[in-house]
Amino acid sequence: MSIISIKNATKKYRRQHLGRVTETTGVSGLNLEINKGETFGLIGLNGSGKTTTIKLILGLLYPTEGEIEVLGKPMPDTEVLGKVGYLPEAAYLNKYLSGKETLELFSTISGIPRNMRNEMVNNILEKVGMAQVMHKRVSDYSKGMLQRISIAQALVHNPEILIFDEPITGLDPLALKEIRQLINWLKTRGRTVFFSSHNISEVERVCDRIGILVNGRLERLIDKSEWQNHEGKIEEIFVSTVKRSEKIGPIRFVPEGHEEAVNG
Amino acid sequence: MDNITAILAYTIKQHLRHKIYLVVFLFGLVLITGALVISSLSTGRVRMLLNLGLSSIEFLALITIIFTTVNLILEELESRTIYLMLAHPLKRWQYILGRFSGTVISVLFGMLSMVILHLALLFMAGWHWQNYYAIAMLCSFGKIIVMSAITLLISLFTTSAATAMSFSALVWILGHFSEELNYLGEKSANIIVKSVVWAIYNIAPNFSYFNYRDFWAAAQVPSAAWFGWMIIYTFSYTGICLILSNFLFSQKEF
Amino acid sequence: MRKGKNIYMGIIFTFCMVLLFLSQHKIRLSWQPSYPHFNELITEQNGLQDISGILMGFRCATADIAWVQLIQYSATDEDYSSTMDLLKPLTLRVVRIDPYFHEAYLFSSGILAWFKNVNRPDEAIELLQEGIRNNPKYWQLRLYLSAIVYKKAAKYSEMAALLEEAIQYPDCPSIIKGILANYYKSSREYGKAIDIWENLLTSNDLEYKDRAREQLLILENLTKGKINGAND
Repeated sequence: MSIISIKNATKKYRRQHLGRVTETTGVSGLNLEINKGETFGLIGLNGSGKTTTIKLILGLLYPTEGEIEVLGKPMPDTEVLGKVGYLPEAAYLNKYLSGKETLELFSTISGIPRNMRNEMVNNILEKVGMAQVMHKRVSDYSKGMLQRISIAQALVHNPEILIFDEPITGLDPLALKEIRQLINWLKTRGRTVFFSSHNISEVERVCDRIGILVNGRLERLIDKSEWQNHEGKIEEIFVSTVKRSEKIGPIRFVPEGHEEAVNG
Repeated sequence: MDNITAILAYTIKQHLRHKIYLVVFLFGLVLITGALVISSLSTGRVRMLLNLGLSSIEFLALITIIFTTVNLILEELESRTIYLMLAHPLKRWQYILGRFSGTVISVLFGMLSMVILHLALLFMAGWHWQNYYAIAMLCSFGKIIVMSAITLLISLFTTSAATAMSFSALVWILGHFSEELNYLGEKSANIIVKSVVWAIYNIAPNFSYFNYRDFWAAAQVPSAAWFGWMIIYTFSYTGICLILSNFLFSQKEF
Repeated sequence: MRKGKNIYMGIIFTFCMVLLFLSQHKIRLSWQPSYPHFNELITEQNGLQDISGILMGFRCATADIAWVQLIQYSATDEDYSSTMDLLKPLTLRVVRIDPYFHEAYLFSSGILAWFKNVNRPDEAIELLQEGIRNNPKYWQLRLYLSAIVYKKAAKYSEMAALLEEAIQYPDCPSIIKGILANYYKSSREYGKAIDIWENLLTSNDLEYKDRAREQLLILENLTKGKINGAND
């Protein structure tokens, strides 16, 4: 049963400036079904449409064409969003609140009953290791602490569906391992996880399926059976599928004697 | 209701912890104390202290409300904190209403603090309590509520904070000028001018109604029923602005 | 569902619009604040100050600033030997901004009518008539007007009786009390003059407190001289 259903979704960005209209395509003709309990990874180059896809799923963007449904309802739907946990690529938290106040806010607007809020907030703070510093302002947190609070707000209301936008970008190896453990933990509890990433090696370790986005189009869907026990298979498929935008070329710093390998 | 209250509380905390809020508030205290100095230049010192104090409180509230309301959504857009907000089961109208109410309440706190200081200075100068002070403050506050709703609407259809602040200041001035504009329009023979003036007169808020501190000493003061209609005017105007703001906000993509 | 929500919002919007226009109509019908129009303002070189104050919604405060400038003008000559040529236009400036500023009418009309070097009762009467048009229920203005009319007709005892009534009001300017006290002094009714200056000694007006001390000393000497003269 598909829990996230994207049918022929297109998103075009229209910008008007001094009478000139420019149109860029975020995603084009996107068709994707995510099943319940699945861990799906979306990979692609910068600007390929990963964040656009995530925002379309969350209802932060409206599709120019096509339909997006989550749990059978067209997005945005506030009832459905109560079952979704979103972890953005950076910690978009209000710096004037403390960690605890932030989670109390998100637990309230996520629909957690009043009598359970305090307990659930304290539990999640313990789980992410932020209990000791929960009263400090967000502006005083380090990057790692911000990431933890960000994870906490995505999980505090025990959502069915988790959507992570590049969760491992810029993380140290320890934090990377923790995120991997988190995703596996969510998998074992039957949660549906949808995340985008650049890191192929991490994606192949946790995902059941992978989608490759190229210039807004879903070019390939790869099932786990295709890369399991075939080291480097995803990278191979990725390189053969992805083409750079015509506007930028490859970086050409290569050791002497390897020019042919670069030039093909 | 929980959602609105949560956003309201979050907004109040944000404003009260914002440095610029503190600066504006301290400036307000300075202005009121300055009124004390200026009033000593005049006979009828208490009247001057009263008028300058009430005007300072309203002026500071105006600056605060324009600045905070313009940045209410814009700041969240720039910092992208709005992504997390709207990725939760929070209806857009709940967000708008919570943010608006929180901002208005924050400014009320600031006004009340200045009122306490102002009253202390007035009592020291020998003034005795008169109910008209409370009515004048309530009218002033009503004006600030309307102005906040208008500023929120303006901030949602402009793209820059500076433009929004300029338009808001223009609406404030227009609100005090509309009676005079109507008088000038009536004198004009040009039908287009008359129509434009009529439209502005009926659409722009008429802030002169809220200046009770200016006409409390008039021979004929308005009746209680008039004030009742004023309350309806305030809330219906605010409601219209909030509904339009919600409409604009629900069209926005992030 | 979305269409349903839009209809619901549309209904509330329409309801608010109806309420807005109804309340606006009712407010305009029952009562509206009445001020002189901009073409009636007497601003001279203070146009920008006055107009911007009014447009910002701070009428009373703008009138108060203009009032301070008027007080400064009237206080430049300590002996009041000047003829105060600008007093009336400066006062009109104040009261055209705030027509309900009672003290301005009383203060300026007092100087115009009773200060010997000024002696412009007609200007004082014009000011008071404008004050009465804007404040028909404020009795003090009619009282002052009557007193000035009596003064013009040299009916000083009737004038004094009216001023005696006027100074009983708590918002009577000190200058009027001083004028009456000086009249009593000039007509040798020293006891009545002393009463007024003693009252001024307890007032909040610092300038008149000092003047009261001076005048009480003078009156004390005059009363002693009168008594000595009587004894002789």
